[in-house]
Amino acid sequence: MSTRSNEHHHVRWSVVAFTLHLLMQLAGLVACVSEDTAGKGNVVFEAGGGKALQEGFPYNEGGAEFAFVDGWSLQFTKYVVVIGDVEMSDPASGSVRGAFAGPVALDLKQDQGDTQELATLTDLPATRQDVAFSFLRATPSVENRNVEIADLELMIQEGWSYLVEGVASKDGTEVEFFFGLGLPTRYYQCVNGKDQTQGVAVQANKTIGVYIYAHAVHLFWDTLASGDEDLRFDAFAAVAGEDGRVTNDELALQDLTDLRDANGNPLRDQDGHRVFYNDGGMLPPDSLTLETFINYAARAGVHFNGVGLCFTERLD
Amino acid sequence: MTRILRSAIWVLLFLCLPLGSLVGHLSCNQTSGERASFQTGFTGGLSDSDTVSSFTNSRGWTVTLSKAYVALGPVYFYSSPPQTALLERLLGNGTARACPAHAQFDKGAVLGEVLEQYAVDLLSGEVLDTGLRYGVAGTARMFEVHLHPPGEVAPGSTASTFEPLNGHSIWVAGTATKDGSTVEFEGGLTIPDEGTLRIVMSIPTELELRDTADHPGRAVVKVHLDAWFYNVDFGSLTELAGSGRYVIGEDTQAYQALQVGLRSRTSYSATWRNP
Repeated sequence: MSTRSNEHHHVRWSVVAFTLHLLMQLAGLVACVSEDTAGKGNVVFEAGGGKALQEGFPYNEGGAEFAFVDGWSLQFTKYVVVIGDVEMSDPASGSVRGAFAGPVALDLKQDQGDTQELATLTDLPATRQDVAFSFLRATPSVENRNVEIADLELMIQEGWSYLVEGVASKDGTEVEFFFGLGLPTRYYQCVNGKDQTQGVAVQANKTIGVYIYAHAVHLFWDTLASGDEDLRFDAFAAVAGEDGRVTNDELALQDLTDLRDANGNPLRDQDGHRVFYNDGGMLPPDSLTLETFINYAARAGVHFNGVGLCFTERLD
Repeated sequence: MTRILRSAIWVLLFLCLPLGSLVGHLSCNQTSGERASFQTGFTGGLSDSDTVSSFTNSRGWTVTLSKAYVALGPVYFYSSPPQTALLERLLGNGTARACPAHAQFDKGAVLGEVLEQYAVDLLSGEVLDTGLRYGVAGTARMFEVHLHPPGEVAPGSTASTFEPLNGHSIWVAGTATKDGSTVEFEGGLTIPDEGTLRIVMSIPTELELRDTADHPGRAVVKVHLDAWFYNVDFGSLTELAGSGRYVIGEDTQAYQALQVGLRSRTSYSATWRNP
């Protein structure tokens, strides 16, 4: 082959290669613009507290019975949460595609504890979107959806994100509980509890529903770690005041290194062993109280679309 | 021929650049690292000191230890950040009790591990050599320690070294003083074998694990004895042993608080120590 022919051949190969390269880049561009051509859809965000909130304890779900091992039954009467900064964003770029700032105060126990509408995000690209939201301290700017005014005022005064009220009973004894938790927390990159994928696939020309799950059962589990969790109320009941109520002040009195019953004796389980709350080694050593424990439990008890879990970041 | 080859290389380059970029993007979340071997060790101390002197705890007791032994191991070093930074991710089976019971925390890759159990004298002032371990070079962001009683895990040290533990996961003795009263105490503790109670998980660290050949020294896990005793009220001890010392009985606040201390993430640290 002559030199000239070789050079011609070389040029031809280069043109082919360059064309292939352009085609591949073009394919990439097509992928990039696909979000714009995918159409638009809407997502309705709701919030709920689960069957524990609806029915109280004991209850059955998924073939399992959720009952207190120390014999208590329990009903919630209020379960107020403050939710805001709901966002859906592109998983790759992080660009926010839809948002609802709120914040909104919702009593999840109202309407029999079913999920309640929080916000609807419209005209979202019909592609997969990441989900994020925050539980926030109540402030005067909170939109009150269905919360008793006096309760919301108290939450604002105390800087609470949750207000929880209910009554537990055992052997003819009733103990009321009423406490608040200030847990400003960002939940982000949530796993979808329904299909175990990250985020939600928005569908073109459709409105789909998702929900934020403030899983009330967490408040009464005796562990912050995985495995062997039991539902207990004895430690709460033991510190009830003379008025038969358990509030934040009383919860702070129950020392996790020395759990006591109402008579001041060591708190024992059904087998006679001292009750031990497993904090997973996480609680600050200078704050080992039942109040601190349920703060951690509630923060970890927020899920997405079922029991999908999220990354979390404390906001204070 | 040379030009043909050159042309072919150009074609490959044009094709491979975007493909390589794609592959690189897809694989960017994978843990990577070279195989490495490094020395390891266990030791005792205080939170802010490598030697154990008297310390005062949150209940006002000044504690002077005369014995402090632990059966320590296995220990695992992981690549992921600790659990406090991210909530457990669900890999469970979707049952009603999926959270937290069946939630699995993504610990990342195991970069290093000491699989055996060692009896450690925490007052010796020395690092117990737990040998050369084979793992992966990288930064461990958390570690976990297992606290089983002797015999439940393959031993790394000889049987006689476990004798001071009297069959327990830990054995301690010493003197505690407060407001003029003195309590001489002695006792052991075995954490119940329930769930994950015997594992202290997700302890934060920033431990650079590199091959000992290039990076002399060793990865050392330290037990913080002051953190073990942080909330112990020695005034709760009432039972005297034949030795004249108060027993750390299972029914006492001291026992419960010691168990909480053993399980606290503040009770352990892992650092690289130069020779």
